[in-house]
Amino acid sequence: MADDVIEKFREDKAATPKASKAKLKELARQKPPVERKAELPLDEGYAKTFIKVTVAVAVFLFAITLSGVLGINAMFENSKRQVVSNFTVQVLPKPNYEESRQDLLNVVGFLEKYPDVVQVSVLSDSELHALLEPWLGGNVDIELLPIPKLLDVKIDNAKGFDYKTLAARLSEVSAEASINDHNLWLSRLLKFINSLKMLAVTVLVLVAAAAITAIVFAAKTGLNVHKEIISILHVIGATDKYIALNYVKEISKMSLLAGIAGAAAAAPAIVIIGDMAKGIEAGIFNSVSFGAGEWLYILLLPLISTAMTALTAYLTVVKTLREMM
Amino acid sequence: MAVREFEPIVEMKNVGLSYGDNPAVLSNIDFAFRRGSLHFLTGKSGAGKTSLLSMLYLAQKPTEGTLKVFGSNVSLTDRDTLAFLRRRIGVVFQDFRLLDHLSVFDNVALPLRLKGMKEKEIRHRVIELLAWVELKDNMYVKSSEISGGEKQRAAIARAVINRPELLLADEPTGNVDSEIAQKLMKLFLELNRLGTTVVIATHSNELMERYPYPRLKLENGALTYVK
Ligand SMILES: Nc1ncnc2c1ncn2[C@@H]1O[C@H](COP(=O)(O)OP(=O)(O)OP(=O)(O)O)[C@@H](O)[C@H]1O
Ligand SMILES: [Mg+2]
Repeated sequence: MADDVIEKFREDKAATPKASKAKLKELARQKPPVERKAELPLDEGYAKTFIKVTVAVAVFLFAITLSGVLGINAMFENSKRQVVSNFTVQVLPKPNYEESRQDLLNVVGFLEKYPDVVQVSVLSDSELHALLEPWLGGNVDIELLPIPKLLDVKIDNAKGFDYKTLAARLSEVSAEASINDHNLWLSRLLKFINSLKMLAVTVLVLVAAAAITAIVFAAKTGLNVHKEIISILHVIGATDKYIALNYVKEISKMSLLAGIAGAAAAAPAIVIIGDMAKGIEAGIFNSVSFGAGEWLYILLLPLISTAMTALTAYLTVVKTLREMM
Repeated sequence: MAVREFEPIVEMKNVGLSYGDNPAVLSNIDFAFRRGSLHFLTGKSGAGKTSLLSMLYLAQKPTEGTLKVFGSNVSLTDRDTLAFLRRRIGVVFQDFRLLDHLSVFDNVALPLRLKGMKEKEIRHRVIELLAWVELKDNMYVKSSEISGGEKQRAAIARAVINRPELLLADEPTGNVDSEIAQKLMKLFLELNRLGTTVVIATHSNELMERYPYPRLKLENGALTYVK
């Protein structure tokens, strides 16, 4: 009996008209009217929003913090260059006005002849006056006050300049003269900047850790929501790698968009902060240069965050799948 | 090659299965399915037909004894190898297990995509098969939006699209009218004629009487031949 069924089946097949076969071929050549969907869909609900927001916020914070660090670096490079090429010498007054004057002239004369010194200028009385006016009032004769004189010394060979020797020899010239050691001030600034940087790095590590945790969490919940789909894929013969890549593709697309959004939101903030920093540094530093190189880092952030999302998701999915069927 | 032909495609020695701490659902099963054979598998509801098939399609490992599929001891086989073995098996699930969010087309195309077949070739094959199971007009409909009988046909199409060496069908004609049931049986017979080993779990006496192939019966956890 079964044999005649098979016979009939063959007849059926043979009987499929040529015209309809051609029609099927034509149908196969047509583009499908609907887009192919991911086999393992990302959850439409919370998990998806959660990843998007987390990645966007992480990239935003990263961009801001990174620009801060890069900005500080740039400032510091500039200030280092500037500070080292000039320093001040302070000459304390002597009880006698004439003595003080002579002392000052000696110091200036000594400094002017000192190797690598390019220029020595005395801060003028009117400048001093302006500096002191808020404390002493306008109508004090500064000449008569026992106020230290300040000398601004510009040097040539900034890097190799030996402050110690200068200080020793200066004290021979005048007991009242001392160097305002910018290097000391600089090293304090350096320490401060370094601790700022450490703080920034800590913030970055925490932000990255939070983002990674969010992705792990979302991937795990996503997989749990789609347990049934995963077990079907497994039973049909999908490897863990196939399923993981399928998921990673989806999550990466989303993460890239979120990352771009985060970076785009950070850009105006960075510009504004940069402008504010320029206002501050005018007095202290030369200039903050936040250039193309720095912007490139910011532009790279969405790509880096996507790569991190992909890697995290891949590892999480493979691990979770191993715990399943 | 000659040796392989005689090598059973599935070999069970003392196989037993239990879920958790519950008493064994299957026990001491000794049986081998020869390459190219076709068997019916019967037994009351709850007898363990689905459980037995699920071991054969490598969704679970036996808790007792040894099971060899395509010559590999499934208890000693690594995950990736199991995945590749599963690609040689077509399964029609009792509850279809289609991916609801995908179209009928994408469901049926899945086994071919897993193999990395070219999309052009996939389209030809899938459309031809869907036309044959009379689902061509619904092929871009989400599979959650078709009727039970249509789902069953989609599930069967997905099971056979890859020309499996082993076809395991769990109540494949339970949701279709007898005309379509006959047509689907014809498909299984044709595949079997081309070399596929087939196991069909069914309650349908009508089907078994009409197609006189050997019957196996599950009862009290044991597998026996029905004379
Ligand atoms: N995942 C599971 N966890 C625990 N027990 C299970 C599980 N699957 C099946 N069982 C139990 O195993 C026994 C056999 O179930 P199975 O589904 O294999 O029977 P069946 O013969 O396919 O029944 P039906 O004809 O109704 O489909 C039943 O008692 C069932 O309760
Ligand atoms: Mg069952």
